[in-house]
Amino acid sequence: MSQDVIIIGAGGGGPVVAKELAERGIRVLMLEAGPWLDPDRDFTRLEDDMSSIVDGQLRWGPADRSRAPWVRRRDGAGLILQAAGVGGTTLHFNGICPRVYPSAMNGAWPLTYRDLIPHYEQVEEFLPVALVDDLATKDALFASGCERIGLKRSETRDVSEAMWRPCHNAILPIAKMKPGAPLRYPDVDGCTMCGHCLQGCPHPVGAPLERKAKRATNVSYVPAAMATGNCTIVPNAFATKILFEQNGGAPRVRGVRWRDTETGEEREEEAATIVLAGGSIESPRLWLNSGLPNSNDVVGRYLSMHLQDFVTGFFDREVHPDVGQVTMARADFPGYGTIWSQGFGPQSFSIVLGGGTGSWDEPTGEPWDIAGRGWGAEGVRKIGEYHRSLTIAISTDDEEIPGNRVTLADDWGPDEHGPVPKVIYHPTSTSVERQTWLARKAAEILKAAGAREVHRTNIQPAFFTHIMGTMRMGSDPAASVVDAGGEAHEVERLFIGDTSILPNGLGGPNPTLTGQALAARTAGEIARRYFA
Amino acid sequence: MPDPSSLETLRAAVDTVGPATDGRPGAVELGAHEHVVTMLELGLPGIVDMVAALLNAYAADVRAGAAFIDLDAGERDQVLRAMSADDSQDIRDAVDAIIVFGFGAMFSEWSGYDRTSRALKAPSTWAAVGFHGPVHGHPDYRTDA
Repeated sequence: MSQDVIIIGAGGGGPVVAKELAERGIRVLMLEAGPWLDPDRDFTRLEDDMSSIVDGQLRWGPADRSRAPWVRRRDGAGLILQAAGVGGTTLHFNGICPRVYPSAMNGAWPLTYRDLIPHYEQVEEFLPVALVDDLATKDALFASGCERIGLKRSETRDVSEAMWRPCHNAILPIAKMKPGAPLRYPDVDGCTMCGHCLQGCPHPVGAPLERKAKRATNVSYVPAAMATGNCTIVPNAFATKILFEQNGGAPRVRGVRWRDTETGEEREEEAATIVLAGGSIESPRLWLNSGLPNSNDVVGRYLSMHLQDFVTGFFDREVHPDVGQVTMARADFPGYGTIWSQGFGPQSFSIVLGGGTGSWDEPTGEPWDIAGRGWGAEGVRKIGEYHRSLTIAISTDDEEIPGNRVTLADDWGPDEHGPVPKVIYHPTSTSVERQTWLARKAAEILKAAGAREVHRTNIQPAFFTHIMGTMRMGSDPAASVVDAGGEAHEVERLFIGDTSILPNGLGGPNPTLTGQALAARTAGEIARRYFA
Repeated sequence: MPDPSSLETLRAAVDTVGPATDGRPGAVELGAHEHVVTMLELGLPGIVDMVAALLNAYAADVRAGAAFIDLDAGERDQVLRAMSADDSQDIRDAVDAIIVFGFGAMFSEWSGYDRTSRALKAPSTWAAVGFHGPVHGHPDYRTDA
C-alpha cells in the first residue's frame, strides 16, 4: 500500500492520529520502534518481566531482550521511563485521564480550554474514559484522609479549585464478579481489579481487544485504525531521518528513513505528510538528526515532567496496595499540582523506599517522619510492611523554562540510530516549592487517614514518567515549534502528534488524555488542510 | 566480562543492601547480586568494574588501605551513605543501581521465574510482604476503610 501519511510512533498519540485519518479514507503507514505485543500471549503481569527498565518487555529497547536497551544521556534527569512497543507508554500507564486545569492554559497556549473540550469529549467517548464507580481499599483510605482535612468530594472533569475526586480512568467499569466463579470473559466483562495496570492489562482473560479493561492504545485506537483497512503498522522500525526537500523557500517533507531493529536493514518510504509522534525525547532527537531547520533554536526546549515524588504512610491495618485499579482517587490543587493514591507491586514499592535522597536517621523537620533511601535490615523490614502501606504519588505543576530541554549529546557516542538525545532538566525553585507543598499535603492526608508513620521518597534528580513539551505548539515561532494545528512553523506538512506538543505541564494533571485530544485535533487539521 | 574481584565486591554491596533478616533469606541468598551484575552490564558494558572500583575507593576513605569486601557491615553501610551523598550524580547513580536492581530482584518474581518456560515459583519474599502474586482479579477488592 502506498501511503498518504507516515506516522512515526505508535504510542499514546500516534494511533489517535492514525484512526482519525484512516476513518476519513486517508492511507496511513505507522512506524513503531518497539515490538507489537499480544496482551493474552505476552503480558505476564510480573513486575520484573514486564517493567524492568533494562530488559523488561515494556522497556525502551529492541524486541530482543538479550540486547542492550537504548541509553539516553542525562543531565539533572533521573530515571527515564520510556516504553517501546505498539501502545507505547499507555501500556504501563495507570489509565488516569484528567483534563488540564483551565487556569494552567496561560499565555503559552494558542488555544482556550473551550477549544479543547470537544476534542476531550471525542477521546473520552471513544476510549472510553469513565468515572470509577467504586473504590478499592487503598483508594477509600486516601479518600477518608482527604475528607478529614476538609477537601470536598467532586465528580467534575473541569477543575478550578482544591478537591478530591474519584478518578476518571480509561478503564472499563468494574466487572460484576462472584467470589469463586471463573474470572473469564464473557462471564466477567470489565475491570477485574487485579492490580496489574502497570504491567500491561491482559484482563479479563479471553476478552477480545475491544473488551480489555485498560484502554491503552494497543487495544483501542490501534484496532480501530486497522479495522478501516487504511492503516498499516510496521513494528520494530526505528525512524532515523525525516526526508525533506526545498519547496521554494520552505522545506517540505517527502518521506522517512527507518532501520529494522531486528535485521539492521535500512528502508525508506515516501509520503507527502509526516506526523512525528515519538514522544518528548525522541521527537526532537529525530528532528535534530534529520537536519531540519531550527532557526530559533526552540526545538527540544521547554521540557516539563511534573517533578514527581512519593509519600508513603504505614498503617496498623491491611491496605492492599496490590488490589484494584492502581489509581482510583486523586486530589487536585490548582497552582501546585495533583496527587493520587498509587497502587503497585512490591518491586516498585521497594524502589519507593530505597531510591530516594537522604537517609532515614536524619531529622526531617517536616510532616513526614523519615525520608530518602533505606536499606539493610531496617529497609527490608520496612518493605515487609508493604501490605499495610498507602503510597501517594505527587505530580507537580513544574514551570516550563527554555533551559530544560532535549538536545543531542556531545559527550556520548551515537548509537545504531544516530546521535543520542541528552535530557537536561533542573527544576526551578518555584517548582521545588510546589513539590514540597504537595508532599506536605500528602503527609497531612496520610496522617489524617490514620498512618502511624510517614515516609517521603524525596526523589532527586527528577523521575521522568510524564514527559511533555520540547516540540510545543504556539503562535510565536520564536517560542514554539508548531502552530495551533500541530504543523511545524518551518516545515510544510510536518505535524506533531504526541505530548511533546504541550506548551506546558497542564498544571500537574497526567498528560495522556490532553495529548490524545490534541492528536485528534491535529488529525482534523491534517485532513482539512491537505485532504479536503 | 567483569573481573572476578569486581563480582565479589558487588556481591558484598548487595548483601549490605538486602541482608538476611529475621530468619528470611537475603538478597544474596536469592541470587540478587547476579541480577545486579547482569542488568548493569547489559545496560552499560564495563560498568561493573567501574562501580566496584568506586566502592573500593570509598572503602579506603572509611578504613585506610581496605577494599570494600574487607569492611565490616557498619563500615560498608558508611560507604554506601557516603556515595549516596556525593555531589556527582554518576556516583549516586551507582548506589541507586545496586539498590534498585538488588531490591528489584529480591522483591519481584525474578528469583522464582524462568522466562523461557514461564514457570513461576512464588518467591518467599512475596509471602513476607503480603503480596498476592499474579491474579486474574479481585472480587473482594474492598475492605472497610
